[in-house]
Amino acid sequence: MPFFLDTQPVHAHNSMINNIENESFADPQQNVENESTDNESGNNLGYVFAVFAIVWGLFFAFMILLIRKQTHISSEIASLKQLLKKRENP
Amino acid sequence: MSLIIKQHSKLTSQLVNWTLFILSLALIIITLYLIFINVPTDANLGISQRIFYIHVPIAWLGMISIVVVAIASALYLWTKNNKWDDLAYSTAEYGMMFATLIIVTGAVWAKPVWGVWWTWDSKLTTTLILWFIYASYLILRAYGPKGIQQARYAAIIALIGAIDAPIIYLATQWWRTAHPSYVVGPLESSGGLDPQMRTAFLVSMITFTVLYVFLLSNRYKIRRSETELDELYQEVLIIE
Repeated sequence: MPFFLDTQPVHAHNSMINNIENESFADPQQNVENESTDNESGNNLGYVFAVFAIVWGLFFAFMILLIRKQTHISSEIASLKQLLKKRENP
Repeated sequence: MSLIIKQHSKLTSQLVNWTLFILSLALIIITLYLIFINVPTDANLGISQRIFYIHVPIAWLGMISIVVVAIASALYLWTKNNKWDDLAYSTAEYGMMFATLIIVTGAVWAKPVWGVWWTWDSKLTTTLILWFIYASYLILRAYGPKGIQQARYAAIIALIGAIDAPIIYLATQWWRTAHPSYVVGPLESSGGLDPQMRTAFLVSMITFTVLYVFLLSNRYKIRRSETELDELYQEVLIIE
């Protein structure tokens, strides 16, 4: 486990573990047990980074898209205004 | 005089925009520090519990977006002012993005904890319905009848769609669900969250909300510019 994630473990809250043990519609119980062993060894790092990469990647991509769109529209508005001005006062 | 007022308001708007941008960046750094360095690892869920700090704020924004879309749509239907329709449309775009992120981040978290990417659980299913509501709203805006008729139809979709938000929120109370019950907020179960985790969670909620305000205000401005552009094109056509 990387040093920055190696903090003292605590129980966040029992409700966060969820009620899966009492549910029949979730996938095989076997999977849950196997994965909880993985949790203890910190093998879920990939999932955490996948989530953070997807979220922040999408945010920044959207921000860049917005900036580009705004620049494009502003220049189009400016050129149209100029065109209108020329036509009104030839 | 009016030119001075216009320039002043433009400067104020730019200042607010930059403040929001810098504040968002600073808060993102603080949030990442809290999530990856400060908070303790959950003894049961392990490292994957850290997805909670990003999944829940996104879910909050996804749900609040449909409420904003519905309120703006109701105001549009009432006042017939296009500004409200522009706000509804801008918010719906973000709502779609957040609904997608809720499902994706939830699936990635479900895999290590539940052993499956997806299950037809009440909370997950109602969230998927929210995604379809946003999708239908945006499809209508892209391909539906143009003008006032489109805005009206979209407003009705938004008003009906907003009913899904409280259903998602109360799904864990109403039905048997695999989804965890609430650890913060009015429906918080007894015991609450570890204090350090609670702080990280609240900071993350603030961060995402500030970022949301920044992104939405910019998208709204672009939407207004698009409307202005359409009007200018119409003027050009009239002159020709």
